[in-house]
Amino acid sequence: MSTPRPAPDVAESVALAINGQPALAGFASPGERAQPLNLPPWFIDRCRQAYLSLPVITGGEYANRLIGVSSASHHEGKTSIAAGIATAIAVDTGERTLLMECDFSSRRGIGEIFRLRAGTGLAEWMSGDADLRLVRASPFDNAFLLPAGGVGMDAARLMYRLGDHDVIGQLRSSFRNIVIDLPPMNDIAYSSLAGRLADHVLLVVQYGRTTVEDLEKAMFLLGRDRVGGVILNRFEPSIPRALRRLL
Amino acid sequence: MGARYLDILFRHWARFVALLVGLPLAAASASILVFPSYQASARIWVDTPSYFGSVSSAQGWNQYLTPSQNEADSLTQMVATDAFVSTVGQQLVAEGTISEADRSSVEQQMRSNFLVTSAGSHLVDVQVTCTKRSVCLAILRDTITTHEDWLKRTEQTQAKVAIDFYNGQVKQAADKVTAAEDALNTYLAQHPGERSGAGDPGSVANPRLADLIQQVQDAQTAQKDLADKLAGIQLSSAAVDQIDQTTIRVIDAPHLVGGNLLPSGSRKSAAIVAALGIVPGIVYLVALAWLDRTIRGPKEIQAALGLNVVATIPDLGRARV
Repeated sequence: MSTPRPAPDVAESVALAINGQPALAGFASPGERAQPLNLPPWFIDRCRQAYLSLPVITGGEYANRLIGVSSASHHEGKTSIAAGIATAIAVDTGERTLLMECDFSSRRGIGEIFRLRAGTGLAEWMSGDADLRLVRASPFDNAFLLPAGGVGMDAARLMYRLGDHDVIGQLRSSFRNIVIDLPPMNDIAYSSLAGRLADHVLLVVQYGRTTVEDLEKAMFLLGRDRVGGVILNRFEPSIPRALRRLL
Repeated sequence: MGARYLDILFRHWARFVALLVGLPLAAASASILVFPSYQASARIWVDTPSYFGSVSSAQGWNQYLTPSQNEADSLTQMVATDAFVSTVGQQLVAEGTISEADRSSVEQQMRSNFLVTSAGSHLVDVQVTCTKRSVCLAILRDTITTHEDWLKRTEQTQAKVAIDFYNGQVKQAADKVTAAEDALNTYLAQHPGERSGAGDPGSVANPRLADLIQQVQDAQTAQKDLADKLAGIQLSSAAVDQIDQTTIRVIDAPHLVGGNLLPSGSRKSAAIVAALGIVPGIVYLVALAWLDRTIRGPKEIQAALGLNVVATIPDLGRARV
């Protein structure tokens, strides 16, 4: 296993990638762009509602947002919502926004949503096996994607290094807004480590699928103080609207 | 919690339509077809027995109850006896309404499904529920007839006992009159000078003669009283034969309640079966609500964990990942 790159390299390579300068040794081409997002506007608007409910760290060098999105289990819609939140923030603020995928267990991550070509990502870069890959999210110039890549059995060690080397902290100096697609809390052994990467975590709950017990466990693993709120996804109540108003 | 039940109800609406509507309807229909139940009814007018203006109370009647209450009580008690029910059963067999093999079951139906109620001061409502319409009507008809016959026999038997008793009393009284007259005539023959004083003992000076005259008159009075009583009882006995015309009249002949197509008895049974048919649906609903621990709304999250729901997002459909 290769040693991860030292922290100062992160900021330098990110700056180069964003500014569109020729790639240095060990960094991906700055010209890579994702396909246009295929999430509907109303979905982005609901995601906007979610991120706006969180307190913003204001003032000082780190006057920015660091939002994690997680769920109790796989396939509850957290990656779509993380993408929606990142898009909404990028559009609303016009600031540099990064969607960072830290769910190494997902087979259908941001790569599918943004229709990225197969390639390396955070895992390979952290392991020293590949260059940092930052992908610009079309049609925005201020939104960037950092796919997870493939990590295999070393996910827990990788997650530990991610926190230990303060990679997120260095990224914060380059991105005012960072949205982290965290792994599902109950299904992944290292989920507690992942949860510590974000200031606030939004928990995605799928209507009619997530149980109260699942949510309790996820909240326990994350820590109650870290949970900024719950997003009820795929909310399709069966009760007619007129009757629902009476209840 | 109510919202959760409603949510489950609407989410699985097709199942619950089948369980809460289809099943009860099917069960009710099956009940009507497989276990038909007919209800027959008749109405009887009951009068206090009255013969030639003299009012008397029927045997066994409570004078503080109305005629219909007395009759309803009497008929209810009769139907509770095996002898009465058996008599009606034999009559049904004799008429060919039922076979001998069916008799016990019909008698059982009669014991358990026969209802007599007072519908007013003089009106008695008689109802019976059974599985065949012709049997229902025949049971009512024969019950009323048998009850009338029983009343007649009872009255006649009692009248006969009374007539026999008073006949003996009248005969004894006649003998006493004869004896008293003989004694008076003998005394007058032995005392030619004495006069009977036109039958008035007060106008006779001889106390012995006055006493004999008084005895004759007392015997004659007693004989007349007994003869009057005997005549009254004989009149009552004769009137017993007309009891159906004077005391009990069938106003509404036995008829099926609710018509032939969907009789009242079947409707009641079907309603009960349909009500019971809803139970599985309700049990299923409760079981689903009990077993389903999934989150169904923002309020559940708030209530269970105290977390705020910051956004609700509808199903993304095909675009979801």
